[in-house]
Amino acid sequence: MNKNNAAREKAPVAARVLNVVIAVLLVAAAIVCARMISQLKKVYDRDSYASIDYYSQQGDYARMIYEYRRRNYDAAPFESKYEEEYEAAAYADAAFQKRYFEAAGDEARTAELARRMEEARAKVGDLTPLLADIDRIMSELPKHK
Amino acid sequence: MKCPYCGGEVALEDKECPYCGRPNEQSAGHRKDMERYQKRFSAAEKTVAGKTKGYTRILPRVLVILFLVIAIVAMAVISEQAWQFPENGRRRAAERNAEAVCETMDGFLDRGEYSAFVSYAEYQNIRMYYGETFSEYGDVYYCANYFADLVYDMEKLYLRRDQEEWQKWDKAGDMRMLSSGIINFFETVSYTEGRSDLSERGRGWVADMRETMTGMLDYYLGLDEEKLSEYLSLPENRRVVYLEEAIFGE
Repeated sequence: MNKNNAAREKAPVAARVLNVVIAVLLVAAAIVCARMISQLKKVYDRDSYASIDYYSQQGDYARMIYEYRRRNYDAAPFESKYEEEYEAAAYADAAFQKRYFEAAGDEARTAELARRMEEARAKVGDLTPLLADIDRIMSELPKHK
Repeated sequence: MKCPYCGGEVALEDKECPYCGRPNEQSAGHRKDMERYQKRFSAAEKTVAGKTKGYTRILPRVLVILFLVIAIVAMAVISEQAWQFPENGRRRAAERNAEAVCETMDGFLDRGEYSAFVSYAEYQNIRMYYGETFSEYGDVYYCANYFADLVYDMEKLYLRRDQEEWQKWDKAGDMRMLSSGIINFFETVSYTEGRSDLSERGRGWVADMRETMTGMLDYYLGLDEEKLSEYLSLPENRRVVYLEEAIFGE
C-alpha cells in the first residue's frame, strides 16, 4: 500500500519535470525553426551578405570586381538593389582588359569590351562619378608597351 | 453440497439451508475466503492501475521530447545545408538543358570571355568530372579559372597600388598571390596541353588563354617572353622579389 502511494506521488513530479523539459525544447525548436527559415531565405537571395555598396563608397574598385565575380554577375546577372554598383564593377573590369586588347590590336575583343563599358555606363545612374575616377586610374596605369 | 442436518441440496454461497433453515457453516468459511481474495485482488488492481497511470503520464511526454529533439536536429541540419538546395537545383536543371548550357559556355570560350565562362559554370554548379555530362569542359575550366584569377590579381594590384592601406597591409600578400597565380596558370596550361584526350577546340581555347595571358603579363607587368621564362625557372623565394622589381622597379 505504501509502495502504491509512493508510486502515485512520484509520477506527478516526473511529469512536471518532463513538462519543463518539453517547454524548453519547444522554445529551442521555435528558435531553430526561425533560423532555418532565415537561412533558406538568404540562400535564395543573391543580395544577401553583399558588401559591394560599402566598397563603392570606399572607392575600392578591386573589391567591387571581386564581389561582381563572386556573385557570378558577369555571367548570370540578376535583379539586384546594387545593380549600379555591379555595373560600375563591370565597367572597371572591362576597362582594364580593353587597354591590353586595344594595344594588342585585337579589334573584336576591344569592340566587345567597349560595348560592355557603354552598357555599364548607361546603367550606373548616380555612380557616374565613379566611372570618371576609374578612367583616371586606367589612364595612369604604368605602360610597359 | 448436502446439508449435514437434513441432507437437502445447499449452494456454497447460501448462509443457511433452504430446507431446514440451519446455518451453512461451510459457507461462512467460503465467504471469508472470497472476501480475502477480493481484498487482495482489489489491492493488486490498485497497484497495477497506479503504476499504469504513472506510465501513461510519463510515456507520452517522453515520446514528445524524443520527437522535439529529432525535429530540432533535423532543422539544424537543414539550416547548415540550406546553401546546397538552390545549387543542386541549378545543377539538375543544367543537366536537363545540357545543349543550351553547352552553347552558352561555347559562346563565352569562343569570345575569349574566360572569366564569364568560369562564373557561368560555377553558377550552374555543373560537374565536369570524367564521365559526366560536361566532362569535355573540365580541363578547360581549370585553365580558365587560373586565367580569371590571374587577371583579377593584376586588376587588384593596379587598382589598389595607390592606397596607403594596401601598401601597408595587403601588398605583400597580393604580390605572393600574383606570383603563385602566374606559376599555377602556366603549370596548368602546360599540363592540359599535354593531355591526349583534350578536344581540338579545347586545345584552341587553352592556346588562346596562354597567348592572351603571356601578352597581358608583358603589357601590365613588363614580363616579356624572355623575362617570363626566366621568372618561371626561378626558385619560389626569388619570384616575388623579381616581380616587385619588374612592376615597381624596387
